[in-house]
Amino acid sequence: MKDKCCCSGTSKAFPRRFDVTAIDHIKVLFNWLFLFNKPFIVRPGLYYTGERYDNGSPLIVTCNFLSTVVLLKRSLRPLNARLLVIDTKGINVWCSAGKGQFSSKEILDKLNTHKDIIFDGERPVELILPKLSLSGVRLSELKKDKRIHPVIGPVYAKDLKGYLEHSPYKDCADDRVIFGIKQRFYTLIPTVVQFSGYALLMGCAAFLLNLIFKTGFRWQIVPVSIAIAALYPLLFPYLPGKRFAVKGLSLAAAVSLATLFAIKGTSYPLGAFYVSFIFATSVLLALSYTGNSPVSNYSKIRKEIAHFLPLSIFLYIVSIIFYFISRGGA
Amino acid sequence: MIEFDKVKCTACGVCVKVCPHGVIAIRDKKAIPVNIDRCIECGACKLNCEFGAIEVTVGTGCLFAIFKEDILKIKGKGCGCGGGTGC
Repeated sequence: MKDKCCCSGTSKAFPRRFDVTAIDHIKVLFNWLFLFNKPFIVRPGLYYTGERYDNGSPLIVTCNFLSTVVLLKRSLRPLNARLLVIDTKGINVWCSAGKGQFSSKEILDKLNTHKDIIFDGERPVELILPKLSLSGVRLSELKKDKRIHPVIGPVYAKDLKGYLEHSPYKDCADDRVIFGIKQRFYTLIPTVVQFSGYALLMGCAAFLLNLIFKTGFRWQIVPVSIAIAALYPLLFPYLPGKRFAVKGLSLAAAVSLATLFAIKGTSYPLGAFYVSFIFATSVLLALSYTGNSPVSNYSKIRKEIAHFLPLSIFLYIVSIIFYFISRGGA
Repeated sequence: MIEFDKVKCTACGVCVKVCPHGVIAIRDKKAIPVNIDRCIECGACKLNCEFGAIEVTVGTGCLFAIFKEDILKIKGKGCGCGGGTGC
C-alpha cells in the first residue's frame, strides 16, 4: 500500500498491523486442503505483530502466502516483530524460492519501498531470512547493501520465538528440514483430498459408462484409491524401498492381498483387474506424492518418472482388459 | 547431481549453513557431501557459493513439475509445480 504522508507531502509506505480474522483461518484451511487452484494471499508490504510499530523489533522476511503469514504471526505471539512480506504470488517460501520469486532483488525492492521507516539509524538492520528461502536468495547480494545484515533464520516458524530470544541473532546453520509423522500427517489430509477428487471423478466416469453401455460398475475402486492415498504418507518411512515408486509397489502388494482376501471367491479375471488397478494407482500416487514431500531429489525423481509412469499407464490398460474379460465371463 | 570443485572451494562454509538437509560438511578445509542421499538438489548451495565451486542439477522433484517442464515442455523451469501463479 502507498499512502501520502500528511506532513511532508512526500510519498511514504506505512507499516500496517497484521491482524488475523476468523475468515483468514477459513482461508488457511482452504489453502491447506488445496481446494482452490489460486491460493489466498497477503498484500505485500511491511507489517508488525504487536500493539504498535517498533523499529527496534526483529525484522523477518516472509512470503505472501496467507497460511505462512498467519502461522508466523501465531508463532511470534506475543512478541513485537516486523514482517517484510514480499510478493511471491501466493506461493510458500520454499517453492517460491525455487521458482525465483523469493529472491534477493525482491527483498531489496521491498526494503527500498519502506526505506524511510526501516532504516533510521547508522547500525545495519538485521534481516532474518527463512532458511528455506536460500535456494532463491543470494546472501552475497544482500550483503552488498551496507544498511542490512542478513541472518539465516530457522526452517520452521515455530522455532522463531526461541530463536529471537538470543540477540544478536546467529545463522541457523544446523537447522534441518524434518519429515516426521507430524509433517507427514500435515501432507496426508491434502493428499487424500486431492486424490479423492481424482478417484471420485474416475468413479463417476465408470458409473456413467455403466448407465450408458451397461459396462458394470465396481465401486470398490473408489475407497481402495482413497485408502492408498491415506496409507502412503502415513507409512512412508516404513514401506520397503528407497524410491517413491518402489514404496508404492510395496504398498500395492499389501493392499492387493487385503483386497483379494476381502473378495475371496471371485473370478480370476476380476481378481487380476483389482490387483492391476491397485498397483497402477499406488505407483501413480507414489509419483504424485513427490510434490508433497520435502525429500524429493530432482534427478532421481526424473528417472523414477521415466521408468514408473509408463508402468502405471500399462497397468491401468491391463486392468481395463481384465475388467472386460471378467465381464465376458460373467 | 551435485559436484564440488576442490580447487575453487575456500571452505568458507556458506554452503554448509544454507543447506536445509545437512548434506555438506567441511573436511580438511574443503566442502564435501556427507549425506548425499539426503540432497534434494534445491540449489541453495550453488546459488550462495561465491566461488563457483558447486555444480548442481537444480530442479523441482515433483511429478507434475517434471511432466510439464521436462516431458511436455509446456512450462518454463520452476513454473510447472502446482500452487500459486506468477510464471
